[in-house]
Amino acid sequence: MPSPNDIKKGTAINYDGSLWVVVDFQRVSPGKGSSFVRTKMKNISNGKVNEYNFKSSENLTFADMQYKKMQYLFSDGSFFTFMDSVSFEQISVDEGTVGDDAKYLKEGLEVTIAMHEGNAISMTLPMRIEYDITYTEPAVKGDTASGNVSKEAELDNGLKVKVPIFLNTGDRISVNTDTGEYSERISK
Amino acid sequence: MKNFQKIAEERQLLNDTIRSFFRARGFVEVETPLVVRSPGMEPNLFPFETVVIEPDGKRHNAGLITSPEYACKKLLGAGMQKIFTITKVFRNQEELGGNHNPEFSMLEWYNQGEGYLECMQETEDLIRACAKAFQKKLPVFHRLRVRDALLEKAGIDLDEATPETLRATCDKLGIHTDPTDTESDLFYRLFLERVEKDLGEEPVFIYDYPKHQAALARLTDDGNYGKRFELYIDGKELCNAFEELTDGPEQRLRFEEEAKEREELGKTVFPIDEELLTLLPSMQNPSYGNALGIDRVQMIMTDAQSIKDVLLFPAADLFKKE
Repeated sequence: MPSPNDIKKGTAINYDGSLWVVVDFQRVSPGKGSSFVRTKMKNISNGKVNEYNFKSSENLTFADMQYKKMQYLFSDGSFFTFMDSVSFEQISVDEGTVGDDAKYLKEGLEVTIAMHEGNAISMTLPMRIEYDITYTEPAVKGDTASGNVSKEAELDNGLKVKVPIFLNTGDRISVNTDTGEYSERISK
Repeated sequence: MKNFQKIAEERQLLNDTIRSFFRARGFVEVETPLVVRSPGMEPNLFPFETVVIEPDGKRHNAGLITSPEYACKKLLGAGMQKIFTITKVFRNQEELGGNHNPEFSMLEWYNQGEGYLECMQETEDLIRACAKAFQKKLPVFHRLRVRDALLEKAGIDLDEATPETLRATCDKLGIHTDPTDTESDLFYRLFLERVEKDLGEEPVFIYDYPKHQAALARLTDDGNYGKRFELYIDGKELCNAFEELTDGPEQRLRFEEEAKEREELGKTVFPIDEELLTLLPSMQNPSYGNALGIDRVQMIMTDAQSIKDVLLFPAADLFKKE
């Protein structure tokens, strides 16, 4: 039986007569006794987000999921279209399922879509995504001395991140999608 | 973008403040071992396991400490009066980020002859000394008994609570329970949902835990609660303190229970630290001990959102490259 210890972001759980997908979780342990997993889950049928505390030793029912590698194609604002990298089949995923991660998407990016009975339940981004810097202010002499070690950069999909001052327009960088922060410069 | 210089200077300021604070109060700093035979018996913890190998090939199973507690208590049993240590401790299967890192810095301090309420005041004095060093203003520190918190937030009186009334209260409040829940589990569900969740930003000491939640504490006079407290600031748990149990046979019983729980959970069962049990009865009553997470104090002092922002090399950067 799956246990709450196996919970990850994107795990789908059958609970209380509904299908839920885990959006966030955290292990918590009291000074003594069982440990718990504080689980924030979204109800797939109505979009409501609830928090439940599951004891590590409880039995849970995980829903059968298919995970597909898909390429992001385009969005019309409320739906995002992806293409199966193997079968070239296209699917539409609604805004609510993509959530805040929409800002990281760019054409051709490969993501993992979790499917349940033919429906997209969640989308998982790669840990790091590469972008080109389309604009950033040139570094000004004295910036380091005054403690300004970072500046804002706009990336090729419109995302804005803080980057070190030594970077220039046209540089390629990777962004950590877990933290939303600049990760490293990619040498071309 | 990480400012290494700033993070390092802040850590230095924090450690200097802690050391000055305890030296001025007559405490001696001690160094305790990181690689030991019994790294901790708590059923919830996953110690890092390793093997000590002698030159002739003789092997000793070992682990990295989850807390310097056993070593510190041995020093008390051997006659030291007031000690503190600043050390790395290790806990596997923790999150990489948020408030957690698998290795983190712990301050532990112990004082023989004083009770946990004195320790509570001392903890407030210490945090205020740190805040002063960081030129940060802290509001008043609240003090809240666990019983009062549950009475107010969940409408249940722990003095008279039973597993049945605890479960009924969970049901009434719409809190998920499981058929296998023990009294301790049911209490903790209520505590998590109704108390810990909205402790607010101001510092608050939570104290006198139900005895099933106070493994190493002496009991209050009515015998219902363990003399244990925790300090929360901005919803973060900063420390866990006990008026220490000095009863060797009772401690052996609790270790044996924990060993059994570990076995049932399929976890490594480490040998009971016999030297600790021998020295424990030589400790005075009362004596207190407190364990405080230094990284989290630095987070509070510098308004950092994640533990990663106060570590030069957070585990998330070391291990979550892809």
